[in-house]
Amino acid sequence: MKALTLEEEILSGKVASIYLLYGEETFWHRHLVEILSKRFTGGVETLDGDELSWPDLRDVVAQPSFFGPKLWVVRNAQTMFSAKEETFIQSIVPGSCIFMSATSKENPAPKIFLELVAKLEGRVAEASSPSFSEAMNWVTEKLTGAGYKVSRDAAETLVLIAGKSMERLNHEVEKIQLYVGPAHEPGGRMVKQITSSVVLSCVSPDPEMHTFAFTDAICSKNTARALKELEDLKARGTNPILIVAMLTSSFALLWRAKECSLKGVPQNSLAGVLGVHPFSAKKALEQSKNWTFGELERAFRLLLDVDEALKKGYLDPDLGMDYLVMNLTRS
Amino acid sequence: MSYVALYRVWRPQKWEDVVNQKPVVRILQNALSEGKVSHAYLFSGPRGTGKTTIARLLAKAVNCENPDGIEPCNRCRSCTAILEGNSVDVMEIDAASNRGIDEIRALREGVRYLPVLGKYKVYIIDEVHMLTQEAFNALLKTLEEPPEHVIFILATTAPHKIPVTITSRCQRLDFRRLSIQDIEMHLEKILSSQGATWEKGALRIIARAARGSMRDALSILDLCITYGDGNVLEKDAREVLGETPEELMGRLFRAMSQRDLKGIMDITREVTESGKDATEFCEEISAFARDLLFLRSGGKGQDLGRTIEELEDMTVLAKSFSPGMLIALLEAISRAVTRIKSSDNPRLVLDVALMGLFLDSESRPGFAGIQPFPLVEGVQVGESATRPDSSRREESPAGHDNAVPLPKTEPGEKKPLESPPDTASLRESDEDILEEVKKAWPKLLEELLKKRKVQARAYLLPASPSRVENRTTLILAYPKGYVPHMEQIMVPANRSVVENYLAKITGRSLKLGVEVSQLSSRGDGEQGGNGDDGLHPLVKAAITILDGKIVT
Repeated sequence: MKALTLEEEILSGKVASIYLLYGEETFWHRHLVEILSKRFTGGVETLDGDELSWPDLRDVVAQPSFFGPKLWVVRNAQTMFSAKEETFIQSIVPGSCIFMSATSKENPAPKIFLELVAKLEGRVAEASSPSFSEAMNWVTEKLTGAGYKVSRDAAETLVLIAGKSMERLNHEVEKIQLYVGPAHEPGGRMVKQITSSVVLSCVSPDPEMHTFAFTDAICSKNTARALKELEDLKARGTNPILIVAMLTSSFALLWRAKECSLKGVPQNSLAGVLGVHPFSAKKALEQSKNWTFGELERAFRLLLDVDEALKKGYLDPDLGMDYLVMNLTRS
Repeated sequence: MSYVALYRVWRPQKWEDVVNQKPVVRILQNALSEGKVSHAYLFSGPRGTGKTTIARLLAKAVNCENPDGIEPCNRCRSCTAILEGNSVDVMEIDAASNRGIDEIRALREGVRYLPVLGKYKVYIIDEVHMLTQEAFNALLKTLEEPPEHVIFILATTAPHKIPVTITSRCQRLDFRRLSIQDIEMHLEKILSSQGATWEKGALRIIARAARGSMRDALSILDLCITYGDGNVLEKDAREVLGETPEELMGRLFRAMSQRDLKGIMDITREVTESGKDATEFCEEISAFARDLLFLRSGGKGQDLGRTIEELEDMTVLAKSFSPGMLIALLEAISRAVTRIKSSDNPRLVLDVALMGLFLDSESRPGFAGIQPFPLVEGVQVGESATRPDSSRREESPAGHDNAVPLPKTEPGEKKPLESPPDTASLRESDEDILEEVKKAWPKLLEELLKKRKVQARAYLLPASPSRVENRTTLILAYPKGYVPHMEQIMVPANRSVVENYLAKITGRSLKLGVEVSQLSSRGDGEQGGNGDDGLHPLVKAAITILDGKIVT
């Protein structure tokens, strides 16, 4: 089961007596505890798996809470599973719940524990990064749920530049809401629209995507915009070698998009062939029309040369980047 | 009372005083008015863009005793304590000098205690990327589950150096560099409030030099006011900044456009004799070249932060430089900057770099195997797409240790080019076209003469059709020593004349490209007589400038 499905289940009112959530997406570990905690009048108690033994945990969950059903959250549960244990937990006080949170990539629990969870009608879920479309749907639902109208373009742009990390997406969605203000004007019926320009104005790009505007300008052969964006990258202290690497991967995508177009790959299956999101595939296809194969090949050679010259210290980084922009965008 | 720097006097104390940074201000204002202030913020952006200022403003806004909506009153105990820098609820920590785990442990201890005057304890950690890994780990524990009464504001110029575990727990707000216009307007506001006199050009120079940082702009303005005894003049601003006079830079570029080698040498002498640092001068040349390309590419002049007179001059100059020339210049300068660092005679390096632009392409060394003077329009690297790599490698001067081992292409193996047909038929077809063009060549020259396209014809005379690439580009071969002709024929006005007449005569639409002939030529024979093959580029330059000879 995926964390997203578990969230829907909890929100629909179904609460199990034991949960095991594993995976590196920390957002889900925090978020699911948040929504679960609203259902327990006895409060939430957090325990650390690094300092907790199974017998201690058994004692804790066997005692009834004075204030009513309680949620027991065990962080770093992966450590507990590394200890030799056969009994685990046999019973939980009626109404209470254990939420075992393991931030390891793989499920750390042995088979015997999983059988036990099944017997107690518990849930095991994976907190992994969502796919592009899952992330887009999540963003859209979150914003429409708050009363905003969201264009498809806006959701695509948001996931594209902020990345698929749920933690980051959650922060960015909160930021967008604050930037736009309340969904409805006081006394008005108008619902505020979230467009891609709103997203671009306030969303912080993923560290790997902060060269997006720059590479986009280069691939569109827009010298003036590329020079402006380059100034911005320089001011942020972006490593020129990183810029060269990002440009190289953009050009590789353009080459592959161009090849696909020559081979007559239909536009609707282009994203699948290229292994990127349809938005990126569409953009690459459009931009590839600005370049001939010869020009792309020369661009690769230039990038290779500049990369080596930078690494060997033959080229001043600032001037080298100017040189690169001028050379690549020259039509 | 001691003098207080302008950037401290003019630090924004209200949201409306903040120059630009609209998205950041709007998000924080809405967060305040909706009661959704986050427990941790990460303010990232270049220096001097307002990160610490806005952090203090936020600290005041959340702790103000008598706020006017979301505006701090700046009069209550909490506000005045923050203004005076002695608030017990607002802790400013410089992570560059307090970067260890002990400092963060002390911070964690303090976090437990409730604020004294306001509602929140605000921790502003400046230059947070300087913390050690252990310190970050210690901070992470607090950021994961912070007490209700604490707000962390982490400020940094290098967000990529902060662990993801930290950034993912913060609301990240990106500060953008201020535009030249924004800075200029703010400087004007400050000067008019002080009753000072100023020249608009001076403010533009200051705004440009500040590179988007208001703090830098105000510091420079401070210096200019002191230097000019209350007046801010353009000349003074240049002197304070140590900038090369614009007139000199214009002269240098004009000399380059006219191939006036003596003029170029005079200017480099003038500059070095004035005590100007050669590296700085190189940076100014490259910035000028970059701005010329920006103007050529349709960029808005106002974005460059140049004075109106400069822009007028530069717009004219931009027309006399092809992008290829500017790229070659930039490449030469870039190489020079690296060499100046290890040279006892920076002027010589600079002269060689600039003179080198006017030597024929073969005698010019290119960095990392790039042939620096892109003579074929639309071709960025000196190599043509169809020519095997090996020939390109041979063109690099022997013994150049910085040559890059480029990906080898096996003989006969061609990378996919524009059209998919097999290479044999492609070669065949190119040869056919070349034959056709060769036949039509005398007619083309005749036609150009008839139609009085004398200039284009003159530049075409030393050339002969060499080869055709991809059935679209005709490469003309020029003998050595005809670089000016090669460049002039590639100027759009001349090139389009030739392309059009060629199309009329042959019925084919071919683009023009140029290269230096590999065969012996008129120039070769003469040079061979002088025995200057293999000479140092500087010696060649000297022979060219002084019309000299090698005597044995």
